[in-house]
Amino acid sequence: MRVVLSIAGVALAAAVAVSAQTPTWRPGNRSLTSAEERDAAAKAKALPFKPRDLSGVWGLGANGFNLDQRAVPPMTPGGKAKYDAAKPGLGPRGVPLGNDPMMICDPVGYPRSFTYNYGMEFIETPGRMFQFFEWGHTWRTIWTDGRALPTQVDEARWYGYAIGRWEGDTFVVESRGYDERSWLDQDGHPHSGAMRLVERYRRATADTMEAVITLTDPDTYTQPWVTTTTLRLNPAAEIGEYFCVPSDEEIFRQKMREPAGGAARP
Amino acid sequence: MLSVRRFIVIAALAGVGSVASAHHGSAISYDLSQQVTLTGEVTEWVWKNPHCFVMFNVTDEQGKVVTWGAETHPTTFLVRNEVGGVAVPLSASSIKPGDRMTVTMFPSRVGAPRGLLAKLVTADGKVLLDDGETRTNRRPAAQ
Repeated sequence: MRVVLSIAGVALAAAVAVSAQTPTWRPGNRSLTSAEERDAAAKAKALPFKPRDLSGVWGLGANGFNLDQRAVPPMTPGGKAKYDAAKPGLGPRGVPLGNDPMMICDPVGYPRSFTYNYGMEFIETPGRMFQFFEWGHTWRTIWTDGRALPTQVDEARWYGYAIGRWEGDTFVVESRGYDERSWLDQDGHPHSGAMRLVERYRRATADTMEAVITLTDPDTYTQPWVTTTTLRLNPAAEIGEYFCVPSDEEIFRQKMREPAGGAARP
Repeated sequence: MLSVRRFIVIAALAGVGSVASAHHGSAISYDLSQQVTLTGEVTEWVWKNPHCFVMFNVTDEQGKVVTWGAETHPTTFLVRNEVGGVAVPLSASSIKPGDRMTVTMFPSRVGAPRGLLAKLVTADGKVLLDDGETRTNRRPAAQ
C-alpha cells in the first residue's frame, strides 16, 4: 500500500516504504508509574490499614479521573452558552489551537485538579486536611476544625472554600466559593460561582479509596452531577514539581503547538 | 549531511482510544492513524513543561534541510520513562545538540514539520523512548 503524504513540502515518492506491520495500540500508563511504584502498590494490598487514614498519593497508573461524562446533567441556557464557547484541545469537541485556560497557565482549579493531575496526595494535620496536586504544584485546604461552611464566600477561589468531617469511616467534604473561570474537565464543561461540591471519600481496602463527588450548580446544570470512582494507592510515589510556567508555555506555543496546529508555518 | 529515511506506517488506528498525554492544546493537531520516521541531527532538546520536545534537522536527497519538531511527555512523566518495561529515565541531558537520532512520530495534520513523538532511537541503536504502542489512554477511565 502506497500513500502520498505531503510533509514540509518534501514529496514522498519511491523513497517511501510502507511497513507491513500494523502497530498495536493498547491502553497504557507506563510513564505514570515506575517499576518500583508498581511493586510497592502490589505489596500494599496486603498491608494493614486504618479506615480513617487517607494519607498517601492516590491515582496509581491513572492521570486523575474524569467527572462521569455519561452523567452530565442538562445545562441551563447560560451553561450551554459557556459550554459552546469553550474550545477544548482534546476529545470529541477538540479543535487545534483551542481556548483551554490551562494553555495560558491559568490555575486548573477544582475539581479539575482532581480530574486532571499526576497524582493527588492527602495530608492530614490537626484542624486541616490538605490535598496536594502535582499539576501547578499546588494544594487545597479542607478545614476540619469544626467550623461551618460559610453561607457566602466573598472572594472567589480557584480551589474553593472547603470544610470536612468524618461520618463513620467516610470523610465528607463540602465546599463553595469557586472562581467560575475554571473548566470542570478537558471537554470544557463550565460551572458558575454558585457551584457547590459534596465529596465523600472512603478507604474501602488497603489500596483503594472510593470517591463520590456531587456537583450542584443550578446556574449551569438543571440537576446535580454525580461522579463515583475508585482510586488506587501509589505508596511509593513522590509528587513531582509540575508548574505551568508562562515563559515555558510561550516557547511551546511558538515552536510546537501553533506550527503543528497550522497557525503559523515555522 | 544526513540522508533521509522515511517509513510511513499506515494503520487502522482511528477511533482506538484517545491520546491524553498531548492534551495541552496540541493532541488534536496530529494524525494518529499514521507514523513517519526520520533521521536527523538534534538542534535542541527542550526539557520543559507543558511538553518536552526535540528539534532536529533533516536533510533530504536534494540537500534541502528542514527543521522538524517532535513533542512528547512532560518532564514528570519522562523521569519515570520505561522502554519495554525497563527503566530509561530521561533528563535534560539525555539528548544533546549534534546527536543523531531516528525519530518516529505521528505527523501534524496540516503538513507542518511537527509530530507527536512515538519512538526515539540514538545513532548506536539505543531506544530512549517508545510510545508506539502505548501512546493512548493515559487515563483509561477518563477524558
